[in-house]
Amino acid sequence: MHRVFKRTAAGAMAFIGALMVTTLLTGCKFQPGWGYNKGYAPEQPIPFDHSLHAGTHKIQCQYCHNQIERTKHANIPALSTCMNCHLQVATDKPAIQKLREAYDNGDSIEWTRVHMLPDFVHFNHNAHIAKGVNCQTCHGPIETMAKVQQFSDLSMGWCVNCHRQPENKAPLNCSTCHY
Amino acid sequence: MSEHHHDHDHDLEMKKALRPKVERDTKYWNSLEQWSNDPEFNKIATTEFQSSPLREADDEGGWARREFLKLMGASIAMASAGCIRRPVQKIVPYNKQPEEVTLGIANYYSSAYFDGSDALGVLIKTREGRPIKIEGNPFPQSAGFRQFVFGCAQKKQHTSK
Ligand code: HEC
Ligand code: HEC
Ligand code: HEC
Ligand code: HEC
Ligand code: HEC
Repeated sequence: MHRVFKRTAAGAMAFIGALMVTTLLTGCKFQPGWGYNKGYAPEQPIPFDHSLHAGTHKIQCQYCHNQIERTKHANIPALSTCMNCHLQVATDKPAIQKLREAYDNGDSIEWTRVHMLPDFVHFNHNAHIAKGVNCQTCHGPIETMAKVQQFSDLSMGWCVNCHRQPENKAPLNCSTCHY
Repeated sequence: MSEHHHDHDHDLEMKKALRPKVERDTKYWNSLEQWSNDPEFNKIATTEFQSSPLREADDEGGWARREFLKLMGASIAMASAGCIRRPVQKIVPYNKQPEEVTLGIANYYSSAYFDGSDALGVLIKTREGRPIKIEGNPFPQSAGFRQFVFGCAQKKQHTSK
């Protein structure tokens, strides 16, 4: 009786173990990027299309993300920047009418943040842009994306791997990114 | 002096010898069942901290196994909940970009504080238009602010991180 139960119990444990591993794997590990947010592409309140603006119409990234060379943040453009064109362009489209209404009311658009490092990491755009690192190296082919998607996993290994390349001469001390 | 000392020791020995002897039981107990050495209790106590599904007396109703499954279920649920994405945040840009604001770079304004008799030069750190710190102005121009009326802020930007 005891023997039998022990064997059943051992079997049950093995089964549960297997179940747990599968759950973990399907739950996060099979998600692209092994538990990081690679591939994350949330819905946006207005279907803003980079492939149309930066791709088809070849608008420079810095036309909109214009503070990026000066500060660590890449700013999302003010509504007034959109209005430089959209006071005239595509004014009959519902998305643009929504934009116009927010602009006229002094409101804003609440974009859903795509890229997000944990608070204990310090990243600055300006240092990277100044060294000539392309947006695409880190963000992928944004100019082909109809909806922005996280291209790199933004893990520590990813940052350090690039910093480690001898030609980059980038710092590797922990306190570069954690302070 | 030494004699006196000797007497004192002697007295103490005498006193000690006369004290009643107290039998101390140094075994402590946590419950009346333990104190009374209840055999039923002793049997349970030996397996108290064994939460293994293989523990003795398991076949009695299979309770331990069910508890085990319950715990496993909970841990699976928690393990998978751990993979959910970080909280969703919003980026809300300006309606019209103010000329002097660069996100991530604080603006400093010098101003003056009037304490009733003197005006003191102060430096105000602001982030996106919000004052976040006021301190004495370490720059020599502050002397020039003695004539300033409180609240009259002069825009004076220094760049800093
Ligand atoms: C016409 C203005 C405009 C241009 C040009 C533009 N962007 Fe954007 N960008 C936006 C807006 C608005 C958002 C916020 C909405 C979104 O996430 O799709 C954004 C979002 C992003 C994001 C995601 C931000 C986040 O939430 O993490 C990245 C990365 C980005 N842009 C990179 C680029 C790159 C690289 C280029 C050039 C190839 C570029 N953008 C050109 C307006 C622009
Ligand atoms: C330099 C000019 C320019 C700027 C700046 C610009 N756009 Fe556009 N946008 C265009 C053009 C051109 C089109 C294509 C219009 C068409 O196909 O009729 C367009 C199309 C769009 C559309 C698609 C409309 C539809 O339904 O077909 C949306 C949405 C849009 N823009 C949003 C934005 C937002 C939001 C911003 C500010 C972050 C912005 N645009 C800034 C030029 C611009
Ligand atoms: C060295 C890698 C790297 C390069 C190069 C880079 N980015 Fe980023 N970008 C990041 C990381 C990492 C984040 C997330 C930052 C955070 O969460 O604090 C980010 C976030 C953003 C955001 C969201 C707003 C923010 O600051 O969090 C935008 C928009 C953006 N990048 C646009 C650009 C544009 C446009 C370029 C090129 C001019 C560019 N990035 C170049 C790594 C890079
Ligand atoms: C594609 C290559 C690349 C990637 C990816 C990259 N970096 Fe860098 N990083 C550089 C280079 C090159 C420099 C050297 C800049 C310099 O010398 O001023 C640098 C410098 C830095 C600095 C120092 C800036 C300063 O003020 O001196 C920090 C902080 C930093 N990176 C953080 C990060 C973080 C955090 C990540 C990941 C989220 C990251 N980097 C990903 C290339 C990269
Ligand atoms: C080039 C930038 C960079 C450098 C240098 C760096 N880190 Fe990190 N680190 C990161 C980033 C980005 C993350 C966040 C990854 C994530 O999203 O979980 C991180 C995360 C971590 C974490 C948390 C891991 C977790 O799973 O949450 C620890 C601990 C850590 N780093 C320690 C270190 C130590 C120790 C060093 C020095 C040997 C170091 N880091 C150097 C960028 C860096």
